[in-house]
Amino acid sequence: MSSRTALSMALALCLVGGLLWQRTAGFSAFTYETWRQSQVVRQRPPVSDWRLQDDQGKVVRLSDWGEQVLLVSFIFTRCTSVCGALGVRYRQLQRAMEATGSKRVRLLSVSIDPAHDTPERLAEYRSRFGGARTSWTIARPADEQTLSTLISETGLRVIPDRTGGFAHSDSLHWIRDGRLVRISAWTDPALEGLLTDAG
Amino acid sequence: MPAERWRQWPLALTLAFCVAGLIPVTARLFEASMQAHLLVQMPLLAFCGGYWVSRSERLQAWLERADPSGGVALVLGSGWLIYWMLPLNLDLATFDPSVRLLKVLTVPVLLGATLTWSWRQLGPVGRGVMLMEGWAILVRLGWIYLISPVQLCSNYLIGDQQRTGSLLLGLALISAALAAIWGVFGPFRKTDRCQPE
Repeated sequence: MSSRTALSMALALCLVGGLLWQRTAGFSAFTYETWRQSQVVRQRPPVSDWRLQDDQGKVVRLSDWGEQVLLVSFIFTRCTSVCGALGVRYRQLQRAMEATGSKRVRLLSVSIDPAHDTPERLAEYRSRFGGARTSWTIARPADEQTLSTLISETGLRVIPDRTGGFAHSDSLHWIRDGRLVRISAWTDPALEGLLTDAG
Repeated sequence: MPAERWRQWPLALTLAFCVAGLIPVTARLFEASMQAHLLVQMPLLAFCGGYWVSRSERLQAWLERADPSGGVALVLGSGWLIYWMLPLNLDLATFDPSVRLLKVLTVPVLLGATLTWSWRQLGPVGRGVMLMEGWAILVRLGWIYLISPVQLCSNYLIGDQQRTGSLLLGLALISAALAAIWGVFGPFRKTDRCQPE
């Protein structure tokens, strides 16, 4: 093998390696979900002031939470898989918040199926877990526009499954001061720390 | 010359196939299921590039000067194969137009054409390594997709993923059987070639 060939091969290796490195955020993100997480940490994209309707029929806006850290998860009430686990997890976090008296974090479950999930159905979803309204809001997008806005702003992928429901991400979206600052798994143990940490 | 022109139709067909990957209506046909995307469109795009290399003498003459050993092509081709095996890129290509364009433009050239060229230039040992590695990729990828409890592509349901995994493993099984038959009855038999001098 000539030195010219060896050099060219090394360059080619650098080229494809560099492209792989660039796409996978330094060989760390191999699926869209992890890639989305790494992009958010880097870019902290702004989110608009979503108009939502809660389980009492009241219209709420993202800006209502001010400087509190909002943990947003996406659910739909007909969901038979992860949405139940998300509800249990939120109730657990809520208990931890009540125990410490922390007001730093607020929880928000947003339905991705607003046509079906009326405020009554959202209230029924809450009753499955028994959480109080004070720190945990369950809501649906107030209009179609908000639904598509929040999907595009969070990079969420929602695809219909074969049972009339949806396959969607079960991650928690951290929103603070109108920016999406982090996306973490709902099982992330760091969430407990977030409830009490200052700063 | 009509006869000459008539012979161009496979070339036109490969170009049309690439363009079909860009037109939203036809692109969605291929991207609708993971199996069609990964096991039909991707290999056919790569095949288009391979066809151009084996068809064009001008391209071959250029490659003969640029990469006579086929080594550079092998590095580029295998790297690009890994790139497009990532669930991330498969996902992005279905809804990000820039990634879809990247797929249609580069898979034929940087994956199909390169691997075809290196296959032509490599000796039997190199070819054997390529075949073994290709087979191993089928098994690895198929196994991951089949047993993963997690939905790896945000755009494809887990059932779709498992079916794709089974198909990949099926392909691996068939190719292993073919390779075994080739090994036993093909040109690698001791009596055929490896005669003592």
